[in-house]
Formats: sequence, C-alpha cells, structure tokens
Amino acid sequence: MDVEPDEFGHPYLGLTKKERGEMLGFLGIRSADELFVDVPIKNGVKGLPSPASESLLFQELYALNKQNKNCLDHPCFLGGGSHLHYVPAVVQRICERGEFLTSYTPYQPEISQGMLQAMFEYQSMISELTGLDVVNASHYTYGTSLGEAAHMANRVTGRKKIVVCGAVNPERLGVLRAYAYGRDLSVVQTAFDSHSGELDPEAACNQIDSETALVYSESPNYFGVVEGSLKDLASRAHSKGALFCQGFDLISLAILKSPAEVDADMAVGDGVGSPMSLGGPGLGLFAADKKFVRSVPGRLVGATSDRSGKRGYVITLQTREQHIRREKATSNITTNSSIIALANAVYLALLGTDGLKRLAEAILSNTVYTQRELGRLRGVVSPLFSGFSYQDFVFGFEGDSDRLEQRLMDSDVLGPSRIGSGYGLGGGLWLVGVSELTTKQHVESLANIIGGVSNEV
Amino acid sequence: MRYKQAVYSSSDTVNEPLLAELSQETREPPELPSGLGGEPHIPESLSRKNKPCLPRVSELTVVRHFTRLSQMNFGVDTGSYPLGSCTMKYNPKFNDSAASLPGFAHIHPGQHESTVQGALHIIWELQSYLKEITGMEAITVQPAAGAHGEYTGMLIVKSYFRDKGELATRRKVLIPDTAHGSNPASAAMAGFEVLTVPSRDGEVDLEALERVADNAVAAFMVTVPNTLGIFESRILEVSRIIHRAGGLMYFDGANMNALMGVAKPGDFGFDIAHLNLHKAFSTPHGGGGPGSGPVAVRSFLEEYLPVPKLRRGTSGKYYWDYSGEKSIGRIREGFGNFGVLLRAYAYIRALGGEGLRQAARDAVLSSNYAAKRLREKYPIPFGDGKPRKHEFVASAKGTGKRAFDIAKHILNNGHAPTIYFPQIVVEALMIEFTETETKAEIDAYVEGLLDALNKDLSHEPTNTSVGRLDEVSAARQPKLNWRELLG
Repeated sequence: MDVEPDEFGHPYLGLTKKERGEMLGFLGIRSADELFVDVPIKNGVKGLPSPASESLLFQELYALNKQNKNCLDHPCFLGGGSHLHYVPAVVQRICERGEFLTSYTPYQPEISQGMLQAMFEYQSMISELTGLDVVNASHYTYGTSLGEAAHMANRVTGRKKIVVCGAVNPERLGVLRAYAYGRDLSVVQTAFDSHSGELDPEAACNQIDSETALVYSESPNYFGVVEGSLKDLASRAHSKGALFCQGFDLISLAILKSPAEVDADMAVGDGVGSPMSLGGPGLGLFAADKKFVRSVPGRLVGATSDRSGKRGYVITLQTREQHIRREKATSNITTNSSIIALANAVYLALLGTDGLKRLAEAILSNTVYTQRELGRLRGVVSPLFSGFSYQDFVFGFEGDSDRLEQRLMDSDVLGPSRIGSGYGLGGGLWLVGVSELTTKQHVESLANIIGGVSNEV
Repeated sequence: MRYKQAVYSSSDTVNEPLLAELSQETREPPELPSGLGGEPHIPESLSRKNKPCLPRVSELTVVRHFTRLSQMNFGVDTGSYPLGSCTMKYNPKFNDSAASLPGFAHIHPGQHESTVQGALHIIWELQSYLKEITGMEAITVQPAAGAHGEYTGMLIVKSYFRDKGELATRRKVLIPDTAHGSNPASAAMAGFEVLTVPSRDGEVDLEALERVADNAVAAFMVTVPNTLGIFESRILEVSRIIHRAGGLMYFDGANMNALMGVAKPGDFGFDIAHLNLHKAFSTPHGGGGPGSGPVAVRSFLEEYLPVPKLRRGTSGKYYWDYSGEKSIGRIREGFGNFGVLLRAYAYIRALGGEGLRQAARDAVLSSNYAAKRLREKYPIPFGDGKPRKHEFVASAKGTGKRAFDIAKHILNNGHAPTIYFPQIVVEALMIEFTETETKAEIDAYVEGLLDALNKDLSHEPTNTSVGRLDEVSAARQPKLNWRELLG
C-alpha cells in the first residue's frame, strides 16, 4: 500500500518522513489520519503562530526581558512573602544537570538514587532547621503548605475551625481560605497588638476552643515582627486538643527559635535557592512532628538497603498518597517542587550552620540599619512597631502616601509597598523588605525619595 | 541499548556518603556579607537554643557530591523514558536559558505592573494560545501543577452549584475507573463524594453512566484520551448525558499530547479543562516538579476563576484585576509558576500550531507502532482493534513474568514503563514514548521488552547504582532523615 507520511520536520521531533513512512507501512495504514478516526471533531487550531526559529525567539524574549525592571539592576525594598536573596552559582549549575532536571518522580528507585538521596538530604536539613522529624518533599508554595496543614489538622482532629493569630500575610491567608473552602472549614482571624505588631495572646486564646482543629501563626509575621508568645499559643492549642502550626522564614531559623522549640506540631515556610521569577515556581516547606507521620500529605523519602545490604533510598509510606489511596489520600499532590527542593539542599550545604547564621545576622543587621536610617527622616515613624523585626518592617508616613507611591514608581527603586487599610491602623503604612544584598546606596536612594516627598509639604 | 549507571562507593555498604558524613567540624563557613552595621540584639526569649546541624564542607565537596548523585539518576537527557502518562519528552534547553534572563528570573511579584510588562505580555499571549488549544473562552494560569488545577476546577464546580442553590444536593463527582488517583483525591479535597464509573471495552460504560447520572451529580471528571491510551469515542454522548443531568464536564488534560493541535476539549462539550504544561508543553519535570496546571473554562464559569486575573487596558498595558465576588479566591501566592509558563510559551512559539499538531500525530504514530511490535508477545487488553493514542498499556499476564520484574530488567537499558497502572489492567506496563524519540530508540527499547521474556529476571537490575531495594522495611520503620539513619 502507498503510504502518505507527514512531512513537517522540526529539531524537537524524533521522526523523519522516512521513518514515519516505515511505521505507517508496518501498521498497514496509509496515513496517521487513520489513528484519529475515533475522534469525532477535529478542528485543529487556527489562532496559533507559525514555528519560530530559536534565534528569532531569543531576540524577542531578550527584548521582553528588557521591558521588565529587575531586582539586580534596581534597589529592591519589596518583601511580604518573596525576598531577593543571592544564590551561589553552584546551585543553578547543579540544578541544571539534565540527569536531575529532566527526570520524573523517582518511582523506580534503583535508577533514581541520585534524586532520592538529594531529597533525603533536603528532608534532613529542613528537619535540622525546624527541629521537626518529618519533612515532606515537597509542596508548591508556603501558602499551599499552609492549606495542606489545615486539611491535615482537620483529618487528625475531626474538627473544622482554623484560628489564625495575628498579622498573617494576606495572600497566604487567601490561599488558606481557598483550601478551607474545599473541606468546609471555618477560618477565624484574631487581632494583633497595634503597639508591638505581635499577635494579641488573649484575643487568640479566646478563640481557641474544643472545636478548633488548627491554630496558626507566622513568625516573622506579615509586618516582619517576630512573635514572642508562640509557645503559650501552642500550649493553649494543645490543652484544647488542637494542633499548632508555625509559619517560618527558613534563613531566620539559624538564629530565631525553631518551630520545635515553641512546641509546634507542624511548620510551613518557603524555600531559598531559586530565583523569584515573579513569584513562581517556588517551594512550599512542610514539616511535622513524628507522631503524625502517617497523616502528613506529600512525598516522603526513606532510607533502606538493597539485597546486598547496600544503603539506598525509596519513596516511602506511599499508601498515604493519591496514586494508591485515591479519594482517601492525605492530599491530591503529585507534581510538586522537587528541583527547587534540590536547590535548597545545595544552598544549605554550601552555607552550612555557621554560614546560614552569618547570613541571617547580615539580614538582621540590614533590617535594623534601614529602620534607623528611615527613622531619621521627618514625618517618618520607623519602625512603627516595637516588636523585634527580621527582614521586613513597617514604617508610618505622615506625608502624602499617594505622592510617595507615584515618586517611587517614577524612580528606579522597586518598593517598598503600601499596606492596605484593612488593619485598623489608618493610612500611610509601608512595608519594607531588605536582604543581604541591600547596600547603603540603596537605602540612601530610598531615603532621598521619602525625604523629598516629606519636605514638599 | 545497554546502560551501566555510575556508582561511587565509599564502602561495601555505602555509595556516595551523606553530606552529614562528609562534614568537617573545623571548617570555616564561606565569606558572606557582614551587614550594614545595624547592631541587633536578639531578645533571649526569641533566640534559638538548639543549634541546627548542617554540613560543613568545601565548595568542591558540594559540587562533587551532587554531580555524583546526578550520575546516579536518569533523565530524558540520558535516554528513553517511556513512563506512561508522564509524557517524558525532550525539554528544550533554550527554554531554560530564556527563563534565566535577569528580567525574567529576578523580578519580584510585588513589583508594580508597569515594571513587568514584558513578563505580563508573555502570560497574556500564553493564555490566548492555551484558550485556542483547549477551545475555551477563559483561563487561569495560576495552578502550580495538574492536581492543583484539578482542585481549582473542583472549587469552581462547587461555587457554581452553590450559586445555583444546588450544592446541598449535588454531592457526587463521577470518575471512570481508568482515572489517575489525583482525580478522586482532588474531588474529595473539594468536599465531593466520589463515585467510580466502570469501563467497558476500554471506554466509559455509557449504560453504567446513565444509571448514575442524576441530579446529585456535580461533575464528570475524565481524562481524554484515557489512561489506556484510548480516545473516549462516544465523548459527545457522555457530555449530553452529564449535561442533561445538570452536571459539568471536567477534562483532565494529562494526556493532551495526543490531541494538541488536532482537537479541542471545548468541542467535545467540556466546561472545564486543565493542562499539564510539564507534560505536553515540554517544561522539565525536575525529578517531581515544578509544573503548571492552567485551568480553562467556558465563559459562563469565567467569574469563578481565581484572582487576580490578567487584563489588558485600552492603552495596551497589562494589569492584575483583584475584583470578583464570585471568584473562588486565591489558590496560591503570586500569579502562577512564571518560570514554567515562560518555557511553555517558548515551546509553543518554537513549534507553532502546525508543529504541535505534528507532535501529537508523531506521538500517536510511535505509540501504535510500538504497540503492534509488542502485541504478539505482550497482550494489550481492552479495546481490541481500537487505535491507541499517545500511550498504550500492555500486560505481562500470560508471559510467565511479572510486570515488576520486567521493569527492573528494563532499568538496565534505560527507564522502565509505568507499572501496575491503570489498576484495571492486570500486570500493567504503561508505555508512552512521545514524539521526541527516533524510530531507532523505539526499536531498541521494544527489543529490550521482548528480550526480557527470555531471561531470568529475579536478580535485576544489575546495572544501576544499587540493586533491588527493600521497600517493605522502609515503610515499616521509616527513617526519614540522617539523624534517624545514622543515629
């Protein structure tokens, strides 16, 4: 029979016209059309462009990249959930290795020991930092880890109330609400102290009752303030039979109390080691106390040995997962953020305990420096809150905040960002994020803009 | 193709040691910025007491450690990876380079829209391509993975029926027995009851579907083509049955590699469709992630999509719209996995509409070719005589071998197929080559599968860095970190 093989060729396609012809001949059909006879409507696509060469695409994408102001060329004072951090060159080079980057989930462990061991080491290092034994690998973002924590608390306690204490990142709170909506959980938010910026322990404790599944608080919180009453909160939660989950910043754990030290049952956070990339892909960290190991969501890698007694690693406790347990699984998660978990493992290995501590101290130093420099300006209250701040902080501006917003947009400085009016603190509040990359010149540029607006009154 | 994996052994029982075992107590940390001179005093009550134990190693030790680990791993870059339902195609290197450009990599989600117009343009264009590919009118690219998209879709279903006042009665989501486990898990996460619909001859059993399609049905969630690689040829009838019962049709696009550029789920009556950009649209799977799971919907569901939504103003400027009281809200921070979206955009541009169609046709041709080559030795149950699409499922039943052993043997040649899935096939071997393999690679792989039937497989694999692993004791006494392993 004559065959009519398709002619379209492209470097991304494996088959040549000749090979297509041989395959059609072997199948005894004239054209690939015959393999689609059971598809009732084949309208194709009309609105897509023609194939583009790599060089043309490069030129176009390079031009689009130049249309964005990036945080390396411009001073960045944005925080609130994403932070600029320097990532050592080794991290990207390792993560780009095709054996890692182009592998699938390591369901066949013997051929995937590299990724499995890397995930085991990731789990180990996050476990060291949080103090909690069980770390999964991994979730999509900090917020989706929190959503999964709420579902887990609901599963463990059989209760439906989530108590969120103090100033929590509003986007993350939004994610929590979307996860709560799925399981019909209620989310109650309790007040923060308008002087310290910390959560109000009394208001929190009043909400924690025998209906409560989960008590959640972040430290540093949305205002950058480190919470001082988490241990009391955990104790109250436990006395009512609820679980306590702390949101954390990974680098800060080198110097600030770990979730285990405040008796948290679970901890969630976000990773380091990957570029911000407009907020994604990121990494959701999730850790839990060992007693919940069979209730945690997500993938776990465990150590074992092969038949000759050699150490090896496998995905373990898979009976919690969707591909085995289906509707009774602890989560639907499948694809996660493994390569970014790898980036975290490499990052933490490069810095080590002391390196991470020095980095956290540098960030803290820059926080205090920036607070103080802005506090010198007329009409600026910096820091606004008396609570101890790490990385992010809030200042109050007595001048025209609309004008300041406009000036910042017209300038080369990215951020800080304005805090919405939903916090009962009046207007003129700004959230500043710093990093180890913040320089004195950056702070001076920002101070000049704020001072300029202040003096225009 | 034979293959021998690298193996580094520090002793008879340990290959590459753990970083904890390589740590040198006296090593100094790397040079780091010292800070601008603000001298913080951390209150005693807030400061950490138990020092974490991270490794102290030289930079070269880190590089060698992870380079060796990478050599004890297998990717599409290494060889054929016909893992069924995973669409392990070539991940173009150009796309990784593009994602590393500073104007894409180093942009903060809190930046004002006016400073990231180039990035928003890419998201906008990608959205329009994906709407065209799915035949849908509206889309969100925020979900971080396929299962995240499913959950988003199920919340949309929930909100839609809540607004219609039918949520109290519409409690059921119908799912065929060939579905991926994430489908029932996602439906359950959104608070629905899952009812499994049986298959007949490899497709949804329409009579069984008719029997359960009543006014308690919220949605029918189906992967097309299904996990047997068979197109649901009566999909238009399925849609009619579900719509007549007042339910919504949900398309799981995990297998879109068979259809992209050829046919659109919107034309089959689907109301919601998710895509996996890390499958059909070539973004690297990263050993498990990240991915991206955009969700496209018909216009009557647009108002339920998550916030924020990307808009283009009259001046052509893009901005985020946070309004919408019917929206299911926020399903993640930020705006989506931009680094993944950018790669998918570049992929679609490189192939164009014509190339996507060709990719689907080649994936399907390769799959049918390999299926026919194997058929005499490996039965291919269900749907006898029906063409397969991008994948097919063979069975080791009757071959005298177990799928498990065959898979372990195949690890000596490259990567194994997916095994024991879908559950309706006994001793299943689920095979998906994708369009990026040459005929020679497919032939060699097929030979390996045929070869396996003549061998003693009980000691395989022998060419990997470790032999068969004891998964049972790993689960019985879990050791999940190096403290638990090393004591």
